[in-house]
Amino acid sequence: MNDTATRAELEKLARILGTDTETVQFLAPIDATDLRTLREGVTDAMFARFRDSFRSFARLSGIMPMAISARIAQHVLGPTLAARIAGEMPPDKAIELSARLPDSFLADTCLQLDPHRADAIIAGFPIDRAVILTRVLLARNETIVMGHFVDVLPTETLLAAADAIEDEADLLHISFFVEDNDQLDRVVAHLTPERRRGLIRAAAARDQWPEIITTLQRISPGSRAALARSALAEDNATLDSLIRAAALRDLWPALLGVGQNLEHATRARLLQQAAFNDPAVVRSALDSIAANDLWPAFAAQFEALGERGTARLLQIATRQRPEFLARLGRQMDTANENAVNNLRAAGGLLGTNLRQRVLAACDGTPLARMLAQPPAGTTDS
Amino acid sequence: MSNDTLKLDHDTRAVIDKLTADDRARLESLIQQAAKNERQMLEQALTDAMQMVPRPLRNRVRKLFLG
Repeated sequence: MNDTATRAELEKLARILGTDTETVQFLAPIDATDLRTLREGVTDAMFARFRDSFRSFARLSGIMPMAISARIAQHVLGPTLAARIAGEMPPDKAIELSARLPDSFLADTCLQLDPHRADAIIAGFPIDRAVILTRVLLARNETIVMGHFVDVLPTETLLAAADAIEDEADLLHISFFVEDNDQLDRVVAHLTPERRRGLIRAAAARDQWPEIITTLQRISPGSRAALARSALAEDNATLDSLIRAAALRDLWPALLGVGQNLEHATRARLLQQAAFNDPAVVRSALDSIAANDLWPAFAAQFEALGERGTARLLQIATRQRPEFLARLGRQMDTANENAVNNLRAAGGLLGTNLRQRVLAACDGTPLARMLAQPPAGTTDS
Repeated sequence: MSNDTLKLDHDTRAVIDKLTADDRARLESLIQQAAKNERQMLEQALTDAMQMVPRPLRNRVRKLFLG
């Protein structure tokens, strides 16, 4: 998990402990997976400890007139206890009761609700009211809670809620907190091409590339290809922003993973962007490939760089990361014919001195053997 | 409803046990305080709810909570 997952877990833990995120910030160094175990364990223990009381209050709604139950929920229990008790109520009764409660109270209750404990209520909850609550929660910027709800919403409600979120930047932000990849996929598949382009533009305009790349990694190959195509159909300035965000935040592992499943032309458009002429960008990519052991993913996409891009990479690597060439060289024994031809053509674009330095850096490796045989018709310059 | 100690499962306990002594004490105090607050909220809610229960239903409601 990542920093965002940690932030989401801390917020959820703070809610069950009835405190604020600042108070539990000392737990931030804990891995998000452990934080989740902790949060779920405390939640389970809290429910187990007070379940008898929750059930008694839940049964109260079966004895009392609904109007009084609604007044008790709103004015006596408040959103925290109402959220705990909701999961113990018969779903139809809870939905009937919710119809008598104001939107702001239900939104407050949503913040305290564990959606998994109330899934039967959520399954039968009226779609039009769910859309209203979506708008209330969005206006309050409760994206973490909204992401948590996405995991349990029925498809029809989920898609209606997605339609109600007009700003793609909000959709993107919420997607970061969704745990169920299938639900995320349903939303992306539901989006019109125009809204998919909106997601990409939002990512570029608001520096939300980590969100979109994480989303791409999690959805099905079909939705991923559609969204990636939307991204790569954008102008060069947008792609430049993506590449520079990847360099700045080390998004290369995710980007290479996504790229592996894209068609050659789509990958090539990205890899042949001018940003890859920037030595700082290339250095960042090379360092990430080496540090994260991304050789197979990189080797599979090497060819899409094109001969000029490959020549530029060899030039920068030779001058600034010669050890990278030695490691890359050892990986090239499984390269396909197109990749080999691309490398030889790139080698032909290098000046004599530079090619000698490249060969020295990867001496004794398959890469050196490939570069030693430039394709016919190329000349040193 | 007077005991404010929560029974945590083995996995949760293991996460807590990995913390430094100070952080562990701080977290355990937060958990205990949360349980105490929850108990007090429920006790107060029961008292307040009884005021809203129509008189003919009060005995039934009392039985519901007292078992």
